[in-house]
Amino acid sequence: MSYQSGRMGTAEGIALVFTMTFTTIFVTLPAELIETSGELGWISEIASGLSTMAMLFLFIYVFERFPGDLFYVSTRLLGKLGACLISIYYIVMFFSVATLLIRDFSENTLFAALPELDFHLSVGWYALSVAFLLYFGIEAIARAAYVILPFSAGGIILAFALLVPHYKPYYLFPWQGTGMTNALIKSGVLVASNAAAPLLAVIAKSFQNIRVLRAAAIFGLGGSMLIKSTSILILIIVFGPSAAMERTLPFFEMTRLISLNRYIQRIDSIFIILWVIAGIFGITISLYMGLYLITRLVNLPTMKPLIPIVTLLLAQIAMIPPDASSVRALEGILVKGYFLIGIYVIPLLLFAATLLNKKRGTKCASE
Amino acid sequence: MRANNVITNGYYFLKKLLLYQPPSDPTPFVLEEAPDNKPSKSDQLTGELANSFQDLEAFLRYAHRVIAFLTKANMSLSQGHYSDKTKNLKIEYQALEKQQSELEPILLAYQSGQGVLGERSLSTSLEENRQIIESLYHLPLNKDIVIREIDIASDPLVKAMAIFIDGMVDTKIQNLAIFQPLMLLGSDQRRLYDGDLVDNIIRKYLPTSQVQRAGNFAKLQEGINGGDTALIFDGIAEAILVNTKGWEHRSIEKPSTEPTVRGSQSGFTENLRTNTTLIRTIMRNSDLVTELFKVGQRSQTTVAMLYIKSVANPQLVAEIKRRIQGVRTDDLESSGTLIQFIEDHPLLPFPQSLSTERPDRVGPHLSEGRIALIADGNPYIHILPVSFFTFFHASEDFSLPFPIANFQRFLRLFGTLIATVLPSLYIAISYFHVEALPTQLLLAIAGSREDVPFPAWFEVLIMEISFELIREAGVRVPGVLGTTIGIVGAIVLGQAAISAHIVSPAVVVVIAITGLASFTIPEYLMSAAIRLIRFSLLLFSTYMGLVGLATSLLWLTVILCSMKSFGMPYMVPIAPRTTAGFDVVVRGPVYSQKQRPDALNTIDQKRQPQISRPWKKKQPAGKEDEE
Repeated sequence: MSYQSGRMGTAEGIALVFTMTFTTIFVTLPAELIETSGELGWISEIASGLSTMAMLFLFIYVFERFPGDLFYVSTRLLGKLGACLISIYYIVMFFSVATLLIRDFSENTLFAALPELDFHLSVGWYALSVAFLLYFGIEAIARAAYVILPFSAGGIILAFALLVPHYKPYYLFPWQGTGMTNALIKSGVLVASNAAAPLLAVIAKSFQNIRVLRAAAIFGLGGSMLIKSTSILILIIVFGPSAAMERTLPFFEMTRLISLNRYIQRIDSIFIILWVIAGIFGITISLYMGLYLITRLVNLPTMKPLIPIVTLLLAQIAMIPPDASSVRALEGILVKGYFLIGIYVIPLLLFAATLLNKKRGTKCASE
Repeated sequence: MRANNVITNGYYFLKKLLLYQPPSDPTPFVLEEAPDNKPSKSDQLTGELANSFQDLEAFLRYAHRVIAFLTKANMSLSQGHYSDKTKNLKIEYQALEKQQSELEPILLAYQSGQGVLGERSLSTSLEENRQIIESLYHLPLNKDIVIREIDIASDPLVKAMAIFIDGMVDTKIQNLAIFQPLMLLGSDQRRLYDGDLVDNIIRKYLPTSQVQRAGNFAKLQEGINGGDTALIFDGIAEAILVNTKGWEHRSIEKPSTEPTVRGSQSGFTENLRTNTTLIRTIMRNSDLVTELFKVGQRSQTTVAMLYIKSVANPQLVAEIKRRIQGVRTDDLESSGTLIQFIEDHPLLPFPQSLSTERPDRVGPHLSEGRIALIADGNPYIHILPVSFFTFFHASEDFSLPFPIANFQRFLRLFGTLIATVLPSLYIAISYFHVEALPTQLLLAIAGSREDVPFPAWFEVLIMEISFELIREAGVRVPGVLGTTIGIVGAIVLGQAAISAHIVSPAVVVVIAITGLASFTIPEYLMSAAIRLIRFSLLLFSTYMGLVGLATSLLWLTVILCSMKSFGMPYMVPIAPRTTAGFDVVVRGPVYSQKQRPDALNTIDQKRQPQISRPWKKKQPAGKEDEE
């Protein structure tokens, strides 16, 4: 039998990583990448995807030797204080991701779907939806993500296909944009589009085995990397780099261009279903990760009482920035600084600690 | 005396008008709780103790008298004065017998106070057994129970009685298999009391297929209530239950709610044994096990659990058995009630077992490793555990070529999608996202709505409720009239509503398509659940447009993914991903269905060998020599 009770398999792992990392194509990140790397924005996305994948493999290396979840493994390798610091870091990181997504998707909803809706109601709606879903647990959420994954990916591919009449490949030239080196370096900094990928480490215990983690890292992150890279590429060839970097909601604005004939035109609203679902999933999964780490950190028997309180708090925080530009500024600070620790520093630290541990173990054995 | 003048009349009229007077009618009947007539605990104890004391004294006196009589008889016989004293002893013996018969009711009352009557063992006294049976069945108040006393010719004569429920037994079988051999074919020469009487009678004098021995009243009642005839003999603390079941029941007819074009035309009935037989005629396998349970403390409904022992997961079988045995209720109305008692999510509207009245549908599910539950008195058999996708299988899928079966399955899934989201999608787009509609269609809808005074959501709600009313009325109105009312009601109501400008034609079309699509769902319970869900989706899309629709669809998906049908994930083989066995979502060609559904975790996973058509590898008939 290919499923075990209470343990998630490859499909769920892939769905979780894919859903958490591809959500950024619905917000401003593609435009930011184009702003940084110009015509090579799509290469930057691939490079950032690959570097995140490499870091995930460092995690997997660690978990191969020390089966358990992030909290357990970091306690084993870095002691209780180290585990606490790492957990607190990731709690803040996942809650930041969740808060930013709540704000971004609330703004999206006001801008693209319900312009007359009250802002607070929009934020409240996402918070309520997420809180409701959290009660069903990660297993049900991951399975639902897997059920919806083909529709999400299919919907995006369909949108790209319907945009064919608007493709202008010459927008890709000069193809080196701001320069390959710059693109690769910036990709390392803008890796934050995959900031939530370490979720595999956080709940590693919930997966069946290391093979599942490996498959989730390769196919989940790889799939989302391809989709995001293609999305940036198409954004460039549809709008041109200079116009593309000014788009606040690139995907939505691309779908607005779809006009094949008198029956297939202005179908951007149909894609609302797609990005609303992706957004709610993204918020739910990041919130779950933060809550999971809290329960592990303070050794709580369940996270359920925390759900309404934390969701309400994050919704309140999401409402603090006065406008979209201040949200982007805050996002910039987090992306270029704070999130990099979770993607680069902690995996390397744990990897180094594992190597050291292994060396010590060998030494002890030889002694 | 009252003065009869204008002033006093006016005064009394005003008094009557203004002052409340209690009505002179008798108090209407109100069912009250049973009056608390129980004596106080101390009184009760004192009374009970006094009575017991007197009873025990009476028994003691009798015992002393018996001892005295035995001593006297012993002495007389040892002294050898037979003739003188025998006469006296005989008189004394008769007096003792009389006293014993007087004490019999006290003894019975004492024994009956020792516990629940039904749990007691049978007595050797025929009279005592009769009294207990009369007490258990509330005779002579209860007119269904027949107690027939008979004498069986033998040396000595065997006094017996037959107990049965009138109407539940086949009198022909009873006469031929019980009364005739015992009463008419006996002789004074036979000595039934030699050896085991019950065994003698069962072996030699009861020409019937099913006979059981019963040593206590619980088993005796179970047999009598199930249509058996109970035989109790004087001097024997055991009864014989002879299978004489023969009540009237509906014969096998066409399934009324699951018609097919190509499938079998026989449906289950209300009789449990007929149903198990129908399954056995399809699944002629010695591994097919039928376990019986009694559910319902008062109704004592027989529930049968059928599974193929060499295939079904033993853990699943044990769990279902545990759940059935763990049901505590007075009365089990139907198999549907039983399912509600034992399913994982009784608060959710989605069915967690497949109910069917078609034996040809049960057979394949049993061979896949599922379990069938039958409740006596209900023609619907429940199959479990099932996946969400099982509800979109029709019974004739098995007999259709796979491309046609798949086309129909996808049509049903598409119908389900339409039935779930179409009204909500219409509301969301026409309220919040009109730009998504082609201009001419938008103008047509706007034009048709021009004269309608209500908002679109209200129109949809009116039509949805009307449709549900017509559907419900169509089901409740008997016979052909129901269908007629359904068709006429829908046409007349729709046309009249448009003419009266209550609803727009566009809404009628949307609701008609939705209603039609909901009929493509083969399972009634799933169809009802989808209809219920549709209303909540409508609410969400009315307030939040496509955002609300997307959110509610996501909630629905997560709820479905969190569900389990008797421990098996509800959304298998998609979530979690399992090997489907090529007949869960998509149906493959019959020869490619090599595995049983993975999620059932059966003992034998293989359904058929790798090469299920070895004839393909051999030479055609008449060309064997060329091999």
